[in-house]
Amino acid sequence: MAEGLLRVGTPERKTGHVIRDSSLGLVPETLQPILDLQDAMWRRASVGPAIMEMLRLRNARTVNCVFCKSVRYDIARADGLTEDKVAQIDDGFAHSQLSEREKLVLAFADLYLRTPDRVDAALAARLRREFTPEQLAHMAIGLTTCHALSRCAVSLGGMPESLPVMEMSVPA
Amino acid sequence: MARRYEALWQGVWQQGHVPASVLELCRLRLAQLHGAARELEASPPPGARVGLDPRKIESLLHGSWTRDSRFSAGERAALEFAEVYGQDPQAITDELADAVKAHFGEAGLVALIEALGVIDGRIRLGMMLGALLPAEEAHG
Repeated sequence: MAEGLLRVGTPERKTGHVIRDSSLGLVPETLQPILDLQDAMWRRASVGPAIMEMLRLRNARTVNCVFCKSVRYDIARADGLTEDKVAQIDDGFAHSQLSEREKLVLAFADLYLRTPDRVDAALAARLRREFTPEQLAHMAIGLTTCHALSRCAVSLGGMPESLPVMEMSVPA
Repeated sequence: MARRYEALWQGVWQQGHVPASVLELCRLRLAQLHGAARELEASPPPGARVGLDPRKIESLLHGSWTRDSRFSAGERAALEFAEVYGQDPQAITDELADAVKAHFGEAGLVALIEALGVIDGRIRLGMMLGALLPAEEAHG
């Protein structure tokens, strides 16, 4: 994708908050719900931040959101997600050194991202054995939120060709 | 988490930049692109069809909307944007985005993109979770 210009501006009044000051700040009606949902994803979900980060990064690499791919949330690193594991979140993850639980997390992401209309019965059974219904629901909500936001970033344009990995905190 | 997701769903339909009726047309078009029969048959969000000519929905569902003069320029811009978004957001052009902005402003473009993301997500979740979780467990 050719690097282009951001297709919309940002709010005139700056707050110092990375999301409020972004183009998303132009729609205050949805801004707080997005922030509230992100807060719940990272701080209240029944699966830990490392699993949520694996879902987010699998999504980022599938959608090819350069911004999303470059970010590492400190809360996920503190929960045990190493760069060695992150490097294995690629199309060959099924044959990687990741744990079976981690591979299932990525298979869940691929189901949502690629074939939501074709749920393999064997995979569904494995997911139900490994995760509680609440965990599956939280993973689904977290993944769909990441997916919508990364597609939003791509749609708004201004995406650079690449960015270095950068650690940051989940915006409060 | 489910309550917060629901709050965002409500927010995209109630924002003041893109009419809910325009989003409803886009919801139906995305459902078509996904082949999501359940979403097409689902009840529309509250108020989403207020002021929306039912003949437009019929035209959209029968694939003749591009030739239907009842569709406004704003509705066409949003639908054309939604069609590309639904297939590949990286294929969105400045021209498609500019057409949306011409009718709904910059905030309208952001609101439309957010809405498409949430709608697309709900369609995916509806298809996937129905097979993955028993109905009584899918609302946790």
